[in-house]
Amino acid sequence: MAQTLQGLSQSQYDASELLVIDQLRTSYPGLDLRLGTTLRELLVRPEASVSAQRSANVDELQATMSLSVMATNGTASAADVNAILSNFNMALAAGDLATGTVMIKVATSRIYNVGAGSIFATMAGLQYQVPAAIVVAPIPVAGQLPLFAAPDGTFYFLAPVVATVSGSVYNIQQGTALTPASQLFSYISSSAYVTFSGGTDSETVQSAINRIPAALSHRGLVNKTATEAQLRDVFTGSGVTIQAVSIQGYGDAAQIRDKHNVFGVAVGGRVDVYCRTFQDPMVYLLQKTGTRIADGTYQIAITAQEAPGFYAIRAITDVAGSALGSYQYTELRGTAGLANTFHDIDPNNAVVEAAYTVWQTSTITITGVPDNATQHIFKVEAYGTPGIQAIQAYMDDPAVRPVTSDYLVRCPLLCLVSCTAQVFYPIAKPVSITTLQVALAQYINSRSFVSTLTRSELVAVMLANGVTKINLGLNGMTLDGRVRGADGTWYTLRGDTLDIGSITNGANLLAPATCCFAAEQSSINITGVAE
Amino acid sequence: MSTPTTTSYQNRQVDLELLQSIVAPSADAQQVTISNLNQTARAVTGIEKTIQRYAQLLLTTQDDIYFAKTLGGYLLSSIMRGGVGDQGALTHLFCVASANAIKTMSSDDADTTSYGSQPTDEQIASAELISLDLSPATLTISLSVQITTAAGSSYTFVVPISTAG
Repeated sequence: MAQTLQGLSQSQYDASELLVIDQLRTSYPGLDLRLGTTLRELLVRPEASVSAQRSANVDELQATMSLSVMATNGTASAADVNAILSNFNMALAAGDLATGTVMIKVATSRIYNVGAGSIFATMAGLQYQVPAAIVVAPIPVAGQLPLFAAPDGTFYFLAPVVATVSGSVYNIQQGTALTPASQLFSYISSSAYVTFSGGTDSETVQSAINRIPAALSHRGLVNKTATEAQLRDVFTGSGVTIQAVSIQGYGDAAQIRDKHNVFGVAVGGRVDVYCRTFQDPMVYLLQKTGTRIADGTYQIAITAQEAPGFYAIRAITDVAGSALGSYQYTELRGTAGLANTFHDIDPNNAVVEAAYTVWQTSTITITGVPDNATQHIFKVEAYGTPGIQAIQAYMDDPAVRPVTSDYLVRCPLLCLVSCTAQVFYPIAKPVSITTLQVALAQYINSRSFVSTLTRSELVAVMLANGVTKINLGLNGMTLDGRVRGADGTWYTLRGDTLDIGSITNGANLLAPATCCFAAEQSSINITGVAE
Repeated sequence: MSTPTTTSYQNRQVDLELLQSIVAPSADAQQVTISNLNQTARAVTGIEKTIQRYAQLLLTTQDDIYFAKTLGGYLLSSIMRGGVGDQGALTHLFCVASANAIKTMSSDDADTTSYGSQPTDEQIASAELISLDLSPATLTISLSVQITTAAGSSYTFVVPISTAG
């Protein structure tokens, strides 16, 4: 947008005026150009105004010609960015709405009707609405949700909600209090039943720059860039937001399906596609009825459809509980439906080769449950990647898939990061610990398939958010990460740098190209010291 | 008995002549008027340049110039608004505007890096209000000001306040 005189700053004008005076004096040293002279008022001042306007327009043009400059400055409007992105048939991606489940406690057992659009809000003013009308009943029939009895004699039901505005700030933590905007009979309280997920901010300019190769690429399932381009093209606006794609193909470290021959050598055509369709870790929420197999020990089974391609269990608690902790459990992964698929998965190594795909199942044995009833209802939370079924179905479509290829879609292996830090800030300029937690989590979750995460990166984030000093001593800032290999082995990383490369194990699908760093706000513990 | 002196005006910095047609309305004061556009532009230097520079700053109204909002005072704007009720008020407005003008001129005169050197007979030392005449009956205001340069020369003139529409 062209600058007007009113849009110029005093410093822009002053710089221009000095330049005009210098240029005039160089050519005509005999002119008196001091304030108050006729030459200054009638010649220098108008020329300086026009020149300043011209310079500002040139500066603005230069600042909006380069995406990298816009990414660095951070001041360009979305329209300016999109004007350049349109050259690549791209536009900045809009943010996504967070989704979650609200647990609503009531005093009376009866039928409840919650209308579509009913609002629940946090203390901070974040609003969520019930997307479709729900009916809750103590003995539900088809289309109704169940009303549960809580141990304290009250009752509760679970209502799905979606944020009213996009943004990662709407990914609130489990247990966050929510207040209904309208009255509900015998209402007691309501809170986030799980940590909300799926909310993402509008795309950054840097992220758009990273997407340009895929945007310019030929679309087709023929190479890494073209495959990513094809997926982004197809799924943009479909409700499945593809944040990052990483592909393991012929000869790559974590591609193990291409050696199914007597010589054990790699052949082409086998492709594993790791799709990150979330920013903050996304959690599947399941209510599973466990069957008692011993005193205080129950077993549940997660089918391939219930939590397709899930990565790892986040927590298992009582159905009305809050996952501040979790029951102890052991897990045995399996597969289902392999006989009905053309995909080349070795039955003798099916658990690993089908890991984190839509053919994966799991049997979980939960111990230490203070109950001996035949059945016990559990709340199971599992990390996953939403939309994996749709992506796999698309790639399996005979009209899409190259006939000689075998594309398997997997959930990325999440390196779950936890961090502790002691930070210092001026007493006159206090820093919000919550803001720091959110900033760190957003930074960690905004990166795609990268090999390392270092303390210095996180230090930079904290310093940029008002912290003046960070304790990097022995008991100061710590950084930990855990990654689950395809065979169920957990690998632990700790230290200044979390380096996926140091635990690369292709047979376990572990490689920098298959792993993403991810952090929940609750796993970042910061102690603030005012000084 | 004083010794006659001559001053060379060669190689001096010049300005466009803004105030000209110096006539003598009285025996002890000179009147200057603003040049007309149809008159041939002329260069001016020496004390005349200093006077027109001072007069211009004196009559500039603060906040009028977008990128020089602190320049000038409220002398002319108060007169035009009818906000000058007596000689005391007029004197006060003059003093404030005059002090601002002298401060601005002195500051630029000292800035030889940006503007070059200024001879002492073009550097303003003081401006003194010699007399003022405020006549509501005839709707006229007349200010006689004596300018003194750093070289010691003085010049008294009538500030060209136009009463035209």
